[in-house]
Amino acid sequence: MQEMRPESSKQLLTVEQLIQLKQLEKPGSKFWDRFDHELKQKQLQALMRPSRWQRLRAACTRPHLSSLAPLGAASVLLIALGWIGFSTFVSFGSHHAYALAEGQPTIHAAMLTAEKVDASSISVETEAPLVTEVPLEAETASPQLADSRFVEVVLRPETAEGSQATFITVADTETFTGSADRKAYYVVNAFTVRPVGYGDRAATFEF
Amino acid sequence: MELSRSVSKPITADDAHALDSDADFVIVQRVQAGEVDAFDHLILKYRERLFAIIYNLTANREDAADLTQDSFIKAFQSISRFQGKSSFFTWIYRIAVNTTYTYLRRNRLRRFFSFETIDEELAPREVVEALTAKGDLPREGALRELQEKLNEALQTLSLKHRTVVILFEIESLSHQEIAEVMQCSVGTVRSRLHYAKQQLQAKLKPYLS
Repeated sequence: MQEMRPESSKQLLTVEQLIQLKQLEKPGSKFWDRFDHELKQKQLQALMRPSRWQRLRAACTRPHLSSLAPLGAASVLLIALGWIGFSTFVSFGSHHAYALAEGQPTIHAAMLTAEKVDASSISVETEAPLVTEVPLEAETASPQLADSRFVEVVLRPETAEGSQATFITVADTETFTGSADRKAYYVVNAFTVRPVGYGDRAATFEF
Repeated sequence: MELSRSVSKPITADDAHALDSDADFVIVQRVQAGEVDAFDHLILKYRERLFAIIYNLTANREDAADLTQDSFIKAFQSISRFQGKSSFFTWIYRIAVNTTYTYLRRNRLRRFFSFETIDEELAPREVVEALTAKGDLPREGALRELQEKLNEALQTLSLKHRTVVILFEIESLSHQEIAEVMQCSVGTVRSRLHYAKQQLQAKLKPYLS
């Protein structure tokens, strides 16, 4: 009970001596009379008040409420079904090709102009071409692509799990904002709407 | 022979605590059996100690009164679940401390202080002498000033550090008992106490000769 208590010194005041002065801050007898009275009241209220479980049970077994039980259950079911439908819709939208997949590194945006998709007008520093796509560099851009009306930006950031393609599709080629990092490639001969991971929804338009 | 040896053995603080704890548990069992009035014995026994803890944590006598009552009500409502695995006093101290923490966290931005006046007649002579010898203030003024500074210094401590100081220095609980109340290790209690005292020492430096 009395561990590590320093001996009181007559000359020096210790922090312990000062703290122990707090023991002297005590309320008087009037305070305790009122305290006891109020506590008794609270205690009686607590005794008379049914527990949470009892209140819930009583509420559910009331005649007018119990008749509404099937209606309540039906509402809950409807809300649940509605929510499932809504979340399916939302999840499809959120996985749309325009969004970058979660956890991928930030890609610095660059304003690119692709009027009539002149490949030479888009300058993006690229290191290595994407195997299946055509790298957008002046010398490698095919002349037949000049008439393409759609541009697709393919972002392929390298992640720990390997590279995963995320497609940003631009329908109108007049002006678009592209996001690119060092590993970005621009494809100009296809318009792909393919949300990442939803291969069954993919649709490719060739020109 | 065995009996006489056990009788002559002096009663230690731990023995006294164990006896106290047993006595409390007997009362608790009576309350659990439906003798609601028996709870009054526990209220009478612990109300001042509980109030002191809460008062020193909140620095507000009105809040402390309400929270002490609430702590007793909570203990009363859940006494059927008390199985005597810990002593009743650590259990009710824990309820009081947790109730106060919840209150203080909810009302972090709305704090008012109201203090009890110090009973000067009971102030230790050496403290009063040291205080009056140093300053120009008379005994009464010096004590009041010290009380203000002391409360200010206590309120600058974090809740957990403050609790440890209050339980150890004001309520004279052992490290083990504080660890049970605060549900932490004895080492944590010791380190919190050490840190809190360092902080207080720095804050109250002018009063420490």
